[in-house]
Parts: sequence; C-alpha cells; structure tokens
Amino acid sequence: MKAVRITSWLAGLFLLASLAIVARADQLETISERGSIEGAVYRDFPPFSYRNEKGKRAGIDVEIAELVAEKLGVNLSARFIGVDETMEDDLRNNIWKGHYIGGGVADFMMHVPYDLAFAADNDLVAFLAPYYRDNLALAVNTDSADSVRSAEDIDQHRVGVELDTLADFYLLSPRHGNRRENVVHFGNISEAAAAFGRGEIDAIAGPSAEIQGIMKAADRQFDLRPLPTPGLQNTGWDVGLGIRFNHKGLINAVIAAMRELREEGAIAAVFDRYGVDYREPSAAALETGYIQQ
Amino acid sequence: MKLNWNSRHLTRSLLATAVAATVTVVAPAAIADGHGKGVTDDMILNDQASEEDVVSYGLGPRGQRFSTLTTINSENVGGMVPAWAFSMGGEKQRGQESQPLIHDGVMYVTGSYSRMWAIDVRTGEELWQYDHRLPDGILPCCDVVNRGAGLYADLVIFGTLDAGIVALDQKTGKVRWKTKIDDFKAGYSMTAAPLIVNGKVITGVSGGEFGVVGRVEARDAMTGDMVWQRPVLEGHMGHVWKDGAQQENGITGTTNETWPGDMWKTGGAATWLGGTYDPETNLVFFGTGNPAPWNAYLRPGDNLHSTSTVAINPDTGKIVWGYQYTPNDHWDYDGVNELISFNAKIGGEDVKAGGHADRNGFFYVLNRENGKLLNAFPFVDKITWASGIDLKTGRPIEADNRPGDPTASDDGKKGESIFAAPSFLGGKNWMPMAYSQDTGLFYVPSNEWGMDLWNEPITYKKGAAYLGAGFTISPLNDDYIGALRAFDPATGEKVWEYRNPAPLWGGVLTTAGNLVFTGTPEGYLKAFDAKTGEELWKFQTGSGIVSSPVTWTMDGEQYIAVASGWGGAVPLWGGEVAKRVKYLNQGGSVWVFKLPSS
Repeated sequence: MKAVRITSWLAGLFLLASLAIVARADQLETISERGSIEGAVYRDFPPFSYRNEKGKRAGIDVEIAELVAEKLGVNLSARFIGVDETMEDDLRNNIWKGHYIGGGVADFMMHVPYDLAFAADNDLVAFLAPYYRDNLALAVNTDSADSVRSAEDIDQHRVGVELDTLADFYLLSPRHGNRRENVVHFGNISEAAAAFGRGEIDAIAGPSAEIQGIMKAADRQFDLRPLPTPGLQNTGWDVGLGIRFNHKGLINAVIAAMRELREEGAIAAVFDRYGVDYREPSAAALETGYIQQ
Repeated sequence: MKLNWNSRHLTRSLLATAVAATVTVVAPAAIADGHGKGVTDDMILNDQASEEDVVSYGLGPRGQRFSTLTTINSENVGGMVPAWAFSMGGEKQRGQESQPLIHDGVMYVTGSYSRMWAIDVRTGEELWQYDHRLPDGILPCCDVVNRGAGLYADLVIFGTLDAGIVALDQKTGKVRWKTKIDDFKAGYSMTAAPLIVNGKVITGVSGGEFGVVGRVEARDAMTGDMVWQRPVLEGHMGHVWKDGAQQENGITGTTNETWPGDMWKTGGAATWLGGTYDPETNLVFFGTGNPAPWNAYLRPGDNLHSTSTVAINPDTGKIVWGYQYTPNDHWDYDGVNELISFNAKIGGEDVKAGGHADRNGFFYVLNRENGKLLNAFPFVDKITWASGIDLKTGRPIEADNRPGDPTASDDGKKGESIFAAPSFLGGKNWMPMAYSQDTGLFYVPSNEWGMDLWNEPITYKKGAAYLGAGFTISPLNDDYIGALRAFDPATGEKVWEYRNPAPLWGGVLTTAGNLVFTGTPEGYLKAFDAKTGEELWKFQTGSGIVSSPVTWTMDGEQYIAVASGWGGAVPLWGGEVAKRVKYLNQGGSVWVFKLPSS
C-alpha cells in the first residue's frame, strides 16, 4: 500500500478534516440507508457496459458492479456516463465533484486505471481493487492478412482503429508515417468490427478485451495478437475502481468485496461469459490493491 | 409572414452605397415602416444605422459593434446612471455571455443553461421566460453559456446546449419551431448567436475534440427547414435541399491535398463561434477551430480549412475563399474569431477589407472580396510560435516552437516542455472586438498569457492508456492580463491601451459619441474615450462581465445595456490564471444605463 504522505502541517490539517467527515457519517451508511449504491459505467461501451437489444443493462463492468452491490447488501443503480476528453475529466465529473451541468457524483466508478503515476495527479480519488489487465492488440483476418504481426507489417493492409485512441496515435506516428494511408478511423470498435465483417479492413488495433468481446459477440473469425509497440511506455495497464478519497468506510468495504469476488473466481467468470480472456492484474497492482495520495 | 423581396434588394444596394461613403447617420424610412410588423431583412441589414433597436448580434451583420448614437458621449458619460437591473434568477448562474436584442419595446436576452427572457425595456419587468429542457447525459465542454439570439419576423431564434435551434414567438415565448443540429451525445453543442441573412438562419456547430467536423448550415428562418450545408474541411461533400430533397453541392477543397489518409473525415475545425455577413460582397464569414487530433505530427499538411476564415455565398452554400491563420496548428489556436467587414484605405488604396484578431496573437487585415492578406501585425506583446506573417505569401514565418512528438522518443519519457505564447485561450478569445467608422480604429479585447505545453506518456482516456498533452496557462505580467487596445488597421499602430488585472472576456461596443464600452471580470462596465483611451466612467454590476454591451434610443433617450455574470472558459481552463480570478463571484443579471433625465 502506498503510504499516505504528509508533507506539511497543512496536509495534516486536511487529513484531520477528512477524518472528521468520516467520524460523522461515512458514505457507506448513506448507501445502506437508501438500499442502493450508484456505480458509474461508460455508456455504449461493449463488452463492458451497454444496454442490450432489450434495453437491459449488460456488460462485464455492469455485472461486476452488480456483484459488488450484492456483497454490500444493496441494489446497484447504474449511472451510464459519457466520455470526456481525458480520464481526469471523467473522475471529476463522476467521482469527486460532479459536472457543472448538475447531477452530482456516483458512489464509485468502474474501469478506472490503476496506476501510481496517474494516481499521483488525481489526489481526490482513491484507486482500488484492480480487477484485470489490458493491453494493445491486433485482431487479424487470417485469410487476407495473416502476416500482420506489428505496425511494421501493415503496408499492404488496412487497419481499423477507434478515433483518438492510443492505437490510433501509435499507428499514425511519424515512425510509421508511410503507412498512414492504411489506417482507417472509426467512431468506436463496434463500427470497426462491422467493417471487418464486410471485408473493408484486414485488422483492428485497440484494447485487447474490447476488441475480443465485440468481435466474439459479432461472431467474426479472427486471430487476436498482442500489438508490439516499441517506444510507448504504457502498452499494458491495470484497471480497477475509483471512489472519492474521503469515503473510507465505503473504500474498505468495496476492497473487501472485490477481494472475495476475485478469490471466488466470480470476476474471471464474468469475463468468460462475455467471451473475453481473463487476464489477472499485474503482480504489483495486486500487491498494493489501493492507492491514495 | 413572408419577406418583401423588392424592398430587400432595393435596400441592399442603397446600403452598399451608404457604406462606401462611410456615413455616420442614416435613418431610412424603411425602419419606421418595419416598426411593429416584425423584423425584416432590411431591418437586420440596417441595424447599425437604425437607432431605436438592436435586432442582430454585432449591431448589424458585419459585426462592427459601432453605433452612430451621440446622445451619450465622452463629454457627459461620466454622469450615466442605472435605469433598471434584471435578475436571471434561480440557482442557475455561471457565465452570462449574451448580447441583448431590443425591438419594439422588448429586450430579448439569453442566459446560461439555454434560457431566454423577454423584458419590458421601459420598466425592466419580465414578460416571459423560456427554459429549454436539457437532456440527461449532456457534456458541454466549455461552460453552459449562450451568446445571444437572432430576431426574424415575429420569431426570436437561439441555439441550445443540446445542439438544437429553437424559434420562439416574440410575444408569448412559445416554441414555433425547433430542430436538431446534431447529436449532443457525440459532443455537439450550440452556444453562438445565429446569423440571419435574407430569410436564412446561418449557424456553425460547436463540438469538442472528438472528431466533430466543422460545417456551416443555412435553414429557413420561418420553418427551420434545411437550405444548405457546407462542411469546412476538404474532401467533404456539401449539400443543398430543393423541395425537401437533399442534393449534392460539390466537395469542399481537394481531397487529401492538405490532409493525409482518411483524417479529413474526422479532422475537427468546429465553427463554434458563428459568423458575420457582408451585404456588399454578399458573403458570410465563418471562423474554424483547430484541427484534430491535437498532435500535429500525425497530420502533416496545412489541414485546410482548419484555423481559417471561410467566405461562403449565402445563396449557393459554396465557399468563395478561405484564409488560414495557423497552418498545421499545434497550439490549439482556433481560428474561430470574427471577421469584421470595414472599408478603409490600406496601403494607399480604398479596399473592402475584413479585420480579424486571431487566437495566435496576430491581427489580420484581409481583402474580403478574395481573402488576400493586406496587412498583419501582432496585437499582443509576446508571440513565440511565429516571428511574423509574410505579407507576400500570407503564411506565418514560424519560429522553432512546436512541442515534441510524443510517439517519437524511444524511451517514451515525458516530452520536453515548451513555453508558447499566446496561450491556447488566445491573444483574443471569443469576445467580439469593435470597429469605429468614426475613428477608423479597431478596439481589441486582448490577454497577455502563455502556456507550458508538454506530452504526457502516462495518461488515460475512457479507462485505456492514451497519449495526452499537458498544459499550464500562466500570466505574462504581474499586474495585468487583460488589455483593451486600439489599433489602426492600416499601420498596425497601437493608439492606446487600457490594462486590466483579470483577463478580459467580454465584447466591445463603440459609438460615434467618441466612446468605447467593455466589461471586466471584476464586475465593472467601463467607458473609455475612443481617441485617447482615457477611462471616463465605470459601474460595478455585482458579478463579472463576460458579455457584449449594446446601445439604442427610446423615447428620446440613449440607453446602454449589458449582461453581468462571471463564468466562461477562464475559471475552467485557466491554470495559474484561474488562481487570480478565484475570488470572483457568480451572478446573473442585465443592467441598463442612461443619462439622468433632465
């Protein structure tokens, strides 16, 4: 566990203030009283969080959030959120401040990166309970582009990416500049999967779990390969939950619930139901389990 | 109510003659004829010269924000007092950037959160209020502002935060028609005041950095039906609607001339600040935003028409010319700021010119008939990204001041930080400047700030790793950020300057009474001598002013009005600057001033 650093008497004062809030009433009590917990999940984000054909909420993140609520003995109220420019914005809008348009904050948020450096810049959020690890991958049509194994191989092939993502930037970077014409942009991975099905592109580059879940749900034939990305620092990342820093009781309860779920194999089972290979968080992430500045 | 075609054409040619002669007082009978019968095209074209109303954004479609009124002048403005104040009420405050409109004894003013009021302009009493129902899940990027409405016939028309246009009945405030510009879930919004030209509502689109492509659209002002749509990025097909059927209307530019691959399809350049119209050349001028994605190394080329002004024929929906301010932008210098049409002697010749003060710190004087550059000069003290603008080629002389490529370094470490000025909030942001036909000067609300800019290899978007950019905005001077400056567009000479501690974020008004008005975030509406910059009058409105003042006459007296309410982009994005304005309080009111009754 990363220690809480008190670098000045001022920080100490803030700590005292936050403890005083805890002593009065933790968010956990409020949640118990109302009988429901509000979890923020991304809107239109299969296989993690979306509404199915019947309009029912579904997805890996949704089901894990439901399991957490069950462990706490309350119902899940899912808040489907839009994506802002950066993760910092999403955390501000949904965890510690709320958007200025109104609507307040949720009790916790799914799909939050678990990363010491990132956490250091977001000190109003506690990062906890990493539940899987993602990386960049290529889904390849083996009939038309079996030779594609890296960004260097895409010369003759068309690769779909989601606009304004890491895979997009990497494939467009000047080091692959002569291959820029081969990068095809889509609004999301689902649109790319549809184009893949029509034979318009030979491969899709993006987050592994997202591509795998969507392609399996669409019943596409493909081979999933890691996308090597020399030069990038952050090509694999752990994903966990975020909760407002001062909700100590809630934080502890969710950490305990997630630990039990992992040990019971319930998390891996959820991934399995959506056709996504479950990859454990990194050993380092599992060891800490909780980051707060 | 349909328009009178004959009188419209007649008035346009009359107006063209009048403009060329740089008149100071015009009072055509057409205005009196229109009184009480709804707002006509003639009245909009004549707005600047007509004294008893303000029926358009910019006091006339050219956007000069110049009034011929002289009752209040530099001799007597010191005695100006409030006539009334109006509260925008409720718990909804934040930035009030609206320019009021006045017609037939009624003021129409929009407010934050897509609200509008009709106010009895003699008493300050509310006649009606319209609250647009905003859907859940709306994510506006840059505060919940609205910059004003447009009047046409018996309608008052304005844009909403959920990317819609609403036309209300002027009398009742009831919805007469409404339409969607696009899907707010995809990041679209609408904060600009609509431009109304010859019976058409002409608008741009607001949108964040999510691949929203800028476009200009014309709709029938009476029905909201589409007339034409013109994307501003090369490769995109424009359209016209004939009898409700959509037809192709030619591609913008040449596909892949200045954009690689398919990136033009999602290349940004949002036209979020709306446009101006010049009846002499029959062109509408829309500014365009920065290109996407933010990392310029990924999109080698000029990326037309991002960071540009495009001139469009409002009858055909075709681009006549484009001029680009920041080719291959890497500093987020939107080119959306207004182009103001004016006629003057530049380089010894009488020209139909257009003035534009860009985010990037340079003031441009263009020939508005063909988009050729006539003059360019810095209007802020510090510009690091370019040493000047080459008047022969019309292109910037770039200094070596681009951030490093985040995907180029093999160790993937944090990229080298560069310092660039102006900051991305611009030497001048959205707030409209003014041009005086009397003094021949432009009055530019500017800000002196810069930014540290670096690459962030460890950052995230939608829960996944991402390559972001970090920035911090900081003031360049200890004692001021804002500066209202008067410039001679022919010589680039700075005639005077007023310095303000907080950044200036409100529009400017100038009058033939030798006056310049602007508001400050500190809450003051101020009046300056148009020739010398001497501060002649100020009034504390109780919250910051980030809106544009107007003036008109009524019952023989001249009035000044301005909305007050601190907000906008500065407190959201301002970095070190935000710390200097933290103490400012929100509000929401309209203030009206006049000279004491004799």
